[in-house]
Amino acid sequence: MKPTLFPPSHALLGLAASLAIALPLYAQRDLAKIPNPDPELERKSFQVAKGFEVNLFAADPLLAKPIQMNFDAQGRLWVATSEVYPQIKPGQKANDKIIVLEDTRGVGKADKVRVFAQGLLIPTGVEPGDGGAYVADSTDLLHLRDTKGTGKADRRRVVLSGFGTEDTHHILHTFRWGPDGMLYFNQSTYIHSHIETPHGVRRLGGGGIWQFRPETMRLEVFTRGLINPWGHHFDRWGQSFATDGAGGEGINYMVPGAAYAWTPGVARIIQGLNPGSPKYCGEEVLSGRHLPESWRGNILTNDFRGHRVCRFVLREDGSGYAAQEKAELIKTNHPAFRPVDIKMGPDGAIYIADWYNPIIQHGEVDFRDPRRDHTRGRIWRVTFKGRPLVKRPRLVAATTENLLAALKAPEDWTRHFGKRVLKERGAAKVVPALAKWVKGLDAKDAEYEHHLLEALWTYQSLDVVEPKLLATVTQARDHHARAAAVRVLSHWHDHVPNRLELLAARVADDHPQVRLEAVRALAQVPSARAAELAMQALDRPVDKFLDYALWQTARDLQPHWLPALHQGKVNFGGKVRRLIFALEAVGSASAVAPLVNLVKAGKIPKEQEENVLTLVAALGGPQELALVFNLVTARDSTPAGHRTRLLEALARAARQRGVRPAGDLSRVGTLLTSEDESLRSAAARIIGLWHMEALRGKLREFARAAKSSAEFRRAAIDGLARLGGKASRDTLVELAGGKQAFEVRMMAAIALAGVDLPAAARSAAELLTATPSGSDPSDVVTAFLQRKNGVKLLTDALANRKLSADVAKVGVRTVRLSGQDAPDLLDALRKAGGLTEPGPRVLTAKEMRQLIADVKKLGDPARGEAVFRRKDQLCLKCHAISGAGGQVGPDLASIGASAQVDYLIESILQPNKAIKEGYHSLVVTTSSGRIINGIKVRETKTELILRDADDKEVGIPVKDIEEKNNGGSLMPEGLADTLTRAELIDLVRFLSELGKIGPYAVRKERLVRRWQALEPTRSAYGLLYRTSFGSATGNDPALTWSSAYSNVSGTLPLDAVPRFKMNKERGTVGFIRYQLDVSTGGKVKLRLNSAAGLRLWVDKEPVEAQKEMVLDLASGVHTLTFAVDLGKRKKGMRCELNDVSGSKARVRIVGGK
Amino acid sequence: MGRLLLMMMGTGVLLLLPGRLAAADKLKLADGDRVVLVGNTLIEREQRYGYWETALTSHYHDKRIIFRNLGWSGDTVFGDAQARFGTAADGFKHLKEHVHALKPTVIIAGYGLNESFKGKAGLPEFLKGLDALLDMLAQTKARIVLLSPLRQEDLGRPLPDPTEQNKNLQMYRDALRKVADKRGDPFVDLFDLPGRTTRGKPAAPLTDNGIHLTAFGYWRTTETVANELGLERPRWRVTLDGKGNSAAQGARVVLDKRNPLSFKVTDAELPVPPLPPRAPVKVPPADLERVLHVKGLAPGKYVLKIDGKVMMSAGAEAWAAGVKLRRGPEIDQVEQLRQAILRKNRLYFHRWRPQNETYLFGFRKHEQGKNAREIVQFDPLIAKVETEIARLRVPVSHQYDLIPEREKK
Repeated sequence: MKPTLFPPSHALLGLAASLAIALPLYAQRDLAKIPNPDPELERKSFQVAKGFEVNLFAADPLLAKPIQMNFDAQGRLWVATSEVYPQIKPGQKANDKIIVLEDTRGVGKADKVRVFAQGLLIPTGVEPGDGGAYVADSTDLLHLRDTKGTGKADRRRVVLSGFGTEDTHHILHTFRWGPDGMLYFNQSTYIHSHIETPHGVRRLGGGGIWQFRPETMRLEVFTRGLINPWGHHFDRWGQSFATDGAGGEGINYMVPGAAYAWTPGVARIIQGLNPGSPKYCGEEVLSGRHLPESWRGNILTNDFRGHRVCRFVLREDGSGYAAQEKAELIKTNHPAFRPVDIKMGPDGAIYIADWYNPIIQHGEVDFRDPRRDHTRGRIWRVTFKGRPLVKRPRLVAATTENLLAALKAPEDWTRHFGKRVLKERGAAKVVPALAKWVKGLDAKDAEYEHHLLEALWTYQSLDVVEPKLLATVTQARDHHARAAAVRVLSHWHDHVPNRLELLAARVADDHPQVRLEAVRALAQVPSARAAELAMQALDRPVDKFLDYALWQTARDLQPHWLPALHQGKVNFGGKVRRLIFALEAVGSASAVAPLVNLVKAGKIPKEQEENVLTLVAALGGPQELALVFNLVTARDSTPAGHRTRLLEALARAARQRGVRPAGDLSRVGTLLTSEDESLRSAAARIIGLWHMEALRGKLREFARAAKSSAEFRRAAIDGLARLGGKASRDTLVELAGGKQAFEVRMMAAIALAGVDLPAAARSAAELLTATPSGSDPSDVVTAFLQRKNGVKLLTDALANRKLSADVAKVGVRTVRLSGQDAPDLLDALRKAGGLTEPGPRVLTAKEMRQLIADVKKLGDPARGEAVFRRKDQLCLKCHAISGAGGQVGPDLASIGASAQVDYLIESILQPNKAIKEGYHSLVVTTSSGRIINGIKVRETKTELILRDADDKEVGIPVKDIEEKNNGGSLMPEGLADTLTRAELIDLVRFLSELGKIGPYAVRKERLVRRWQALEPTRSAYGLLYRTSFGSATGNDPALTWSSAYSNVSGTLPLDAVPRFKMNKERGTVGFIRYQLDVSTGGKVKLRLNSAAGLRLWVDKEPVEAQKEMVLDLASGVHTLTFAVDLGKRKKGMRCELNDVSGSKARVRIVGGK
Repeated sequence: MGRLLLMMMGTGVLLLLPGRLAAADKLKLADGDRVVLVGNTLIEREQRYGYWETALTSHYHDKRIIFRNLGWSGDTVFGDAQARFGTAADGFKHLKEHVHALKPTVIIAGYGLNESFKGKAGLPEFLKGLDALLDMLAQTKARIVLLSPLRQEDLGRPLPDPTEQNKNLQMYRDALRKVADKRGDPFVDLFDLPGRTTRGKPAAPLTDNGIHLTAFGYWRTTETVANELGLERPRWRVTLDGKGNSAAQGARVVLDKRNPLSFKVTDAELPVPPLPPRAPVKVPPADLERVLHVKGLAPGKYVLKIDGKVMMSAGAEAWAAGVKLRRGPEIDQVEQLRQAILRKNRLYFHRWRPQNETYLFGFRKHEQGKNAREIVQFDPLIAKVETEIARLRVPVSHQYDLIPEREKK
């Protein structure tokens, strides 16, 4: 059968359209893949890790829609449940519940169920304690109590109120007691909370983790950011980790006071430990004797989209951690298995809350989608076959001495609840016994220091300051204990007179984790001295976590040390490196003067000079900029690249802040004849920006001269456009006219758009008419899309023009890729190019049903993957799979497991119908009439950064923003227009398989997925002919590398590698490379599918390529470059990274676009 | 004694005239008034307890008045808490849009706690913000009432010692009063509430964290709010002389001509709702008690029935001295009224501050904006409860019978 072009013929549409009236959207009901709700069928679908088994602990109708759960000290499981989610209906009674499940017989099955509380509105968190339970009830944090012993709450206290509810899957959640006796709870990115406390009002806009001590009502923000952090737990040493139900970076290591993904208004964040991961919900650090040893200390979390309970092995990595995914605890293709919370139980088993729903979330899927389940829910229990369970501890009735003994238990559960019960007994009863217990501990016990730490935490839980024990633990042999003690000190510092002395010792600690804690603890001590002490950590090696901690501390303490520095009261021990770090961290104008003084005194070390000067240019006034300008023009000895970057920094200052260097600037003209092309070009542009009319003649001359290089001509033309005025217009009109080469005409027309838009439109229309075949005029169209009124002027100018069909197609594609809504321009382009109108892309219910059926029956995922990878389909330009690919759209690694087929089809055909959170574009109009469309990456007080459809980050000064509107999706409409129906079916089938068990599942192996391949440009050929293949290993600017991606199974097909046809001896070759980011140095193993036809360089060193190789890598980023003999090698490239046992190495494969 | 009572003995009719004329000028609500409450948690939580609103509603039971609560935890005169995704200026705009859309005739504003933590240094900025807020509110032509912040209670350690913060609060209270006086707006001083100590732990705390009123706190402060607003809420005192004469205060009494111990009582306005459960005091203040005196009874026990239902029994001497009525249909009715008000407030909360605003009205409305049609469906539900409130706020007449208890044989 000849493939029919999609969409179907008009005749069919007519029929379908009439059907659509009878079958409105609700016809989607028929599409539902509603599974049989029998829990046993669900259980049987589980593929469980070797040695484990799953039993049903509790299920509907005992509970419906569990959201969060926590045990109490008696071993009862408290579950927050909501049938109202996602949105209360008018007239509906909010009657959501807190359920308490009890396994009175200890057989692993709940036999007693109580409704502790009802009448709640989407309760998203519950944590028992203080004689009742803390409950998240939308805007409020409640404490509910049962005072009559009826099992039902009869007292209700609003503890805190003012939590935002802008999104009901973001509201107050993830309640956890910390080892410190504080209650931790989270909120997600759309939420803005304003909480009144007796200590003052606390505000948090965006995601974050709160820290709260109920008895003092002290509420603070523990960390900021993460998009939807529905998992947070502490390890045995009190370090905490969080997961993100909307982020893509796996496990996050939480540093007090730090900012993470999507924190509004911050310049820096800490990244997660597993970029390219799917989203995770819930989290538990495992412990205890019931589990095999290799599982203890692991983190479990839930890929609720992919129906998986995932396992990560956590290891220390310098001052932070590394986490590596292992095979799942549970995986299934059951479409309603939605693990959302996970906790260890009193018996040492693992408990999983299964929200049970074929439909998740409510942003993309209608609140009232009939496929939403509102009544079911399960709690699963996972045990290890053949290992005894832990005897359930009896804590509530235990004597204080026995409770203290419980602090030595190997199970985190027992120690945690032992401490909770001690805390609730109160200081008066516990402290004397505790002091005695500490005295009686055996210092030779291998766990001695951990016991001391538990005692310290018990004091902290009781809110009793114990400076002597604190000082002891800060000097423990075990660095974990020292780090934890420093964190306790950060809370007690007001009561510990020698706090700075204690912290100074820990800033100089031998272990980086302790140094990091000390640096963050110092941020709590409001003084210049604390900042000086913190910066001493720079004298030892600094990794990325510690670097962040130092940066954040320098900023937190800025109000104390910066004025003192201006007054000459602090000098950071005379160590310039410390001072520069602190000033760079501040990144505001007040840091400029001290930096300039250092420059003038010649005190800046050479390797830091460029950074410092760039910062001065970014923040300084005319005098400071003059200093930078003088260095650019005066010092011929400075490398040209360095000078170019400084000149560009000065250009940014002019563009973004309107600041120019003071004094005579005409010297910049001398740079126009520099030997270095980039420096010449930067000079040409800045001449325009600085409006140096005297140099206009020179610019015009270079713009016209055919012998100037293309880059330099473009710069000269840009410079002229910036100079502006009639003279510029005339020159640009002339250059855009017929006499010049087409590329130069394009440059001129684009530049002209900034000077005289109507004139530019006329030139552009002419250019589009005259585009020679093989030339790409898309930049011309883009220039008008990026200007106010540009679309209209270009549309008008195209009237009565004739374009070639190819040019018209390029134009149409450019408009669509811009994400802008410009129907008139699309019509004009189509008309001028004689293109036929595309059919409507909205499917009728019947067409949709047919298409879904065909996807299931006829779709071939392998063919679909080929369509996905096709360059003209542009999928990978914006979407990554497991972190490899563009970042404009969501990562698709588990899209098939989370989204129904109808949703996938609609997302392709109507990208604006449902947009994943965080992928809404903003359309910004600047005061100079520019239009920028992109996804918000971050926003500070001064700058808004968007990621545009080309995956480029664009910074816009906030003061230049005239208008900011919400745009739709950046995914262009009509992408599927060029697909045959069969291709569309294959593509959807491929997407629907992603993340499901099978060949397209999310893989745990660490595979190279993002490669860079050398483009066979003329200069690349030139270089490779002249020199050896080894010259491909440097970062030679003559070489262009573009991204190439492994397929989902992890192999890079060789047809994705551009070919260099060399001479006979050297054959046909391709060059590919990737990077390894090594945070802790050491040995790692690389495994290739085959070493045939490969030559390998690690950085610049040739290394023999073998199927299995062990490399010893120092910390830093390393590039592995392969020359692939395409005559000899037939297999694609597959490269897996493995650990070498005993090696300390922590390595991450660099992914991304 | 500022009260002027005119008792018409013998006819059983009582006419109550308002006293404290100056105070009465403070705020008088009229038929058709639309009262909007704005402010921080003090205001926001009132809608969950409703004692203030119940008092105003039952006092003006012959008038159609609606109440809309726009309080928001953490809010300031600058609009900080309503900023949502924007700045405080956006929050201020949001408040303005909502207040103006309600076309209020009366606005009750409660601000100052959050601002006061900035102390003296923050005062000029606060006053500037307050002026801007009041100007914005005044554009509606509504009468504006300003509430002071509360004194922070000292509930003992480990909660913070409020001594220093109370100096700030007092400073902000004074500043608010000055502004109110200058503008001629009524001012409700909640700072020095009756029964509150200025030092040490109060015997009957009104808050559970020092700063936020509990149910009891709202119940107890209703009297202050009412007094400060100039509401004349009469004491309820009914006296029968056993000879066919009655005197009543806060109620109209009609005696049965044939039976001097049988009479109809219609309250002038509904009583104060019952003490909330687990209040730190067991009985209401004497002023708020409903006292029935029946003199001249022959010795023996007498049962009081209201509408045929037994309420209590007491001896003749006790009836002569006055018996406190803590149960009765009037008290049931006012509690029903309060519950209806709470239901209305809950519905209105879903209406004006719905969950998922991001999807319904915000930058993701192109996805779920269609569901915004549900939000207006709260309007008829609110209107229905308002009808119920209108019925419940009106006192009705009840049959009281005092019946001699027969000696047990």
